[in-house]
Amino acid sequence: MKRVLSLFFIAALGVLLLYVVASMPPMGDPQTPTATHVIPRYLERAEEETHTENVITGVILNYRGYDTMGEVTVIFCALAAVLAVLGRERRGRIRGFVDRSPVPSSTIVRTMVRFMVPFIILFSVYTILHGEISPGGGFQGGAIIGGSMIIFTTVFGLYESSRRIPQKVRAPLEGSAVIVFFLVGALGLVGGGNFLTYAWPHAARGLQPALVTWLTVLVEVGIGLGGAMVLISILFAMIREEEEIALTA
Amino acid sequence: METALNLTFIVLLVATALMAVWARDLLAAVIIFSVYSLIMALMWQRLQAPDLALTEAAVGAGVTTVLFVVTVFKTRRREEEE
Amino acid sequence: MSAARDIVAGALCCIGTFFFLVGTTGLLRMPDVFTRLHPSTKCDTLGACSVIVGMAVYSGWSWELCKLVVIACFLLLSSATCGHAIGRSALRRNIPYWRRQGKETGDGNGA
Repeated sequence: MKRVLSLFFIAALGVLLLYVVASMPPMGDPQTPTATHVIPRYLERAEEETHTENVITGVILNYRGYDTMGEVTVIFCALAAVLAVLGRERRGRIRGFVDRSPVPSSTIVRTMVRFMVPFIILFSVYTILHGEISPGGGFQGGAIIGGSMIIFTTVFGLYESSRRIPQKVRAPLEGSAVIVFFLVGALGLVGGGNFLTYAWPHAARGLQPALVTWLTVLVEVGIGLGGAMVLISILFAMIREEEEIALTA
Repeated sequence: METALNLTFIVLLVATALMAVWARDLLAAVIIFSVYSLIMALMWQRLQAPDLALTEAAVGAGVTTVLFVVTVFKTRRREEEE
Repeated sequence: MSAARDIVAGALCCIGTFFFLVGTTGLLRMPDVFTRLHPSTKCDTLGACSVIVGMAVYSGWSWELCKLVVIACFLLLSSATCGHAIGRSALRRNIPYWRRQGKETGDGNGA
């Protein structure tokens, strides 16, 4: 009975959703509300107003800066929640399951990872710094740095990788996304503009575009570093195994 | 042709989503979910949103998968039988 | 000239897709880890590289070609390393080999 009822509700919901999808305007229709209200303004004036060539970066960091700042805070809160539940790993005496794996990683894999990780980090730096011109940006670059450290950790073990990025380096940088975003937003206030507008109305005309561009890049770098450190800290907190060490040591 | 490709992607997307839910082996479910993320990344690219495609590929298929795998290793690999 | 280039590029992409198809079929049909490793590594090296060469032919002399070559290099390196890591890990963990019916050691995995 319960099963029939739930099936009925799912079917009804599916029909309703399909009906809504069928009545949606076709993709790319210029008459839809999304294409008539604020998007044309973004597309036409983003470059002169936000001084970023990639309109998406302009929208994310400038027009909708509050939104992105909230997202960055959410990511930081995720780390805070993970650390509140699992606790941070203790310095110097941590191991993950790779460290006690019955299969130690082979020379070939170690050499390849040692060869590849710098390239991955280089690519992520490119993604962060070039996010103002091409697709990419702080979030993506930070995730790629996190991915590279995940590869390193799965091959070399937690002990080695936590020596490469020790806790005292990670801990101050984890909040860098929120802090940099907030400080750059406040810089706008100091310069006489609004919060998070990056604009200094009283600055010299020629200085204005360069200032906005560099502040945007600064925010991207902050988001990238902060995101990467948050991901690495979550990973370390999840895979460390202190209890067993405490038993054997 | 375009419609056929889009339809293929959508069918694959729904199929992987259902498989991820139905899989009894949680590790398999995680891997299927990463496939779901990859297809989603391809779809974002097809919808001309390369920024989102990059995010989905890096976060969805890369980082989240590893975090899920770690969680599966730390807990239990099989779902409990009904 | 352009038509010939399109034909060559399309043919190379088709060859790559064919290898992917064969590799995936092998992955599904083969009985154990070691035999499955054999077709699935072929997938990446032959299949993906043929597709990339096809795209390189299609793009001609440009920056795309440079990027494609780099992608192909990383793909070759990483897929070969992956295959090695999986095979070695399976060997070290004493995952049983597949034997023809009835003689299987352990439970094996697969048909």
